[in-house]
Amino acid sequence: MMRQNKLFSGIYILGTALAIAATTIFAIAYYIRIAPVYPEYQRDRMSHIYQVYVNDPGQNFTSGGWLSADAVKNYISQLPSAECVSASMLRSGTSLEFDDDRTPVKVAVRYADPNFFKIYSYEFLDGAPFTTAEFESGAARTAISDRMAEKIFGTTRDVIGRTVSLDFKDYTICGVFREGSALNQSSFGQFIAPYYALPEMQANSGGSLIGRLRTVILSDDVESLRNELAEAGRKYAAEHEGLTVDFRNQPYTDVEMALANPSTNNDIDWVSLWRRNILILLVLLIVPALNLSGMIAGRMDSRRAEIGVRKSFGGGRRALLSQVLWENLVLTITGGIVGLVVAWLLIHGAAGWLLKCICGSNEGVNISAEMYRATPDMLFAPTVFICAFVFCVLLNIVSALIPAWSVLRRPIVNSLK
Amino acid sequence: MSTIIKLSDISKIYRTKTIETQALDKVNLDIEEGEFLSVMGPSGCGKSTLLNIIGLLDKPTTGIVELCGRPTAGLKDKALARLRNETLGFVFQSFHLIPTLSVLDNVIVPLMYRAGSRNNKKLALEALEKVELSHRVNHMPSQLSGGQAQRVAIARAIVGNPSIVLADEPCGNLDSRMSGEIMDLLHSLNREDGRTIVMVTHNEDQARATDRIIHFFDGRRVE
Ligand SMILES: Nc1ncnc2c1ncn2[C@@H]1O[C@H](COP(=O)(O)OP(=O)(O)OP(=O)(O)O)[C@@H](O)[C@H]1O
Ligand SMILES: [Mg+2]
Repeated sequence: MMRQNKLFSGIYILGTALAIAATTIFAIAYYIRIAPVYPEYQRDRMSHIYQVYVNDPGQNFTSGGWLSADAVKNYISQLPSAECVSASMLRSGTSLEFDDDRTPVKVAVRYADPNFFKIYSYEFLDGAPFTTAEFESGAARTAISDRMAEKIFGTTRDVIGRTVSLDFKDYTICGVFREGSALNQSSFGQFIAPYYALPEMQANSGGSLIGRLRTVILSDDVESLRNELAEAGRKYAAEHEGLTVDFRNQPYTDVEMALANPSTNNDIDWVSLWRRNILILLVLLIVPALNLSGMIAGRMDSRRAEIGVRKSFGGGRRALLSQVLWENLVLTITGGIVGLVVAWLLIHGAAGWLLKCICGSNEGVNISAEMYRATPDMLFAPTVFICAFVFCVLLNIVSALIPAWSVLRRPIVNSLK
Repeated sequence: MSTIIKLSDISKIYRTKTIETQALDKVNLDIEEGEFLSVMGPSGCGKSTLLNIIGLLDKPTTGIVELCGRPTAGLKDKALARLRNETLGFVFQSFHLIPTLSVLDNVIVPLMYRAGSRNNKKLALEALEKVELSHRVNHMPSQLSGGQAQRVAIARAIVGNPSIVLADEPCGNLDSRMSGEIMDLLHSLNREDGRTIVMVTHNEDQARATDRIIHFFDGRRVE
């Protein structure tokens, strides 16, 4: 075994570790948004209506926005291919007041309908979601996450029936659920309350399509949904003279939503999306790979004499190549393990700012860093860890193979000058 | 005695973008088994090129190289590597020990490329004993004197029990006392072990002590 220069090995291991850590964290962040994880187990059947565009040629004015409760009830819920429709909104800047002298904090409250719990599989540790009757009557009921209950009451037991003050209104707790990840912004919420509990939602929307709700639909047939939704838009336009309604190509599938990360005013821009993802991939993988390649090349160069000697004493190109790769593999795997540990520790300890950095404010909702956290889904996603690891190891091997082979191909005498 | 190295009409032309150098020009040479041969000639006349071609480290532009009665043209990298490993041992002017390996590990190198490696350490220790360096096995090359380093290199050259040892100015970097030690060693490899030795040297006295001297000038053998 060729003994390695310590500095070289150290830097090599470090470089590999960083690449693998970064890749893993990135992969985890995307995994959480794409794979069927708690509470979004039905992702393959979910699609989203993000916004609707209504044009009034009389006023020469196009407005785009989320949907109103009326629109959801009268149009979206009526779509023949929609198996289940739920509408909700996330208020991530809601102020939570305490009974004692603790200062109010900002929390994320999801205002939803009963169907929300049919689409998202929230696990209740105690109690239950608000009922349909409570929803319809706009009762001030809320489910609370286990973490929030811990934070407010110091326990998740016996909190049913107690009240919390959200934006200066008292809500009675009806159930305690296990909190999901803030990365999943169509389901996340630290409190889940009926949206009719909000006074502004009880007011009549005057038949407007545009409102405050985001809609998620459960269906096996997104293509039909798209056609039916366009048809519903035409129907609405026919009933409201002079208006045109455009749903673009919605609903978007859950994967499209997760990857595209649309902002309030824009449709999914696939081109810039891919450009961004490819750029990220380049930075994460190719740059370290090139670096490692360069290091190997430099290292091989400084070992030219050694390679020449080994060749003259019977080392064939294959034998030498496998020796170099083997050495490299040992370093890579060491670096890989360090990288996985670093990734794990970072997700565990610094999930907040890390995930916020990677994912930004999704879908137009600004969620503060402390709401992001490491969920068990992230910390125990062996497939992702293994895939990121294997991918980086393969990349490393290729990046070692090329310079090693090119040096080994040189004539021996040149190496022994 | 049989011919162990046979060169027929060997020419070597180095081509670079700008110039062509005829390093060897139609060289014929037969070397007998057990012979100790010196190669002499002015700098740049092609001595090292000749040795590299005999040692299968380089290919002639034209001509035939036969080792132990077998032609070597057309052999693949793997077969050449094996032939080098089994029949040839090299001693270089600048030692070329691997700086990151201990003396013992340096001597083991040729054995690493052989199948079955149970006796490696024992064989290496024997070779080191032969060059009288048994007490330095765990030293690193940087901790050795020039003469000691060259003795380690000789141990490495003979550890695989090759029938041919090729030495390119083995004393070129050594003072006369150390040169004497190295020459004694080479002579004993030749006499006691019957190895064929081809040595390039600039030193008349060293050359005269060998069985035969050949002279080169401008890529050609001269008498
Ligand atoms: N790789 C190479 N490319 C081009 N020319 C070369 C190469 N190697 C050697 N030469 C040329 O071939 C000729 C013979 O070189 P060689 O090294 O065999 O000489 P030498 O007799 O060993 O000299 P010295 O006594 O200085 O070691 C020289 O003119 C040299 O410049
Ligand atoms: Mg020379």
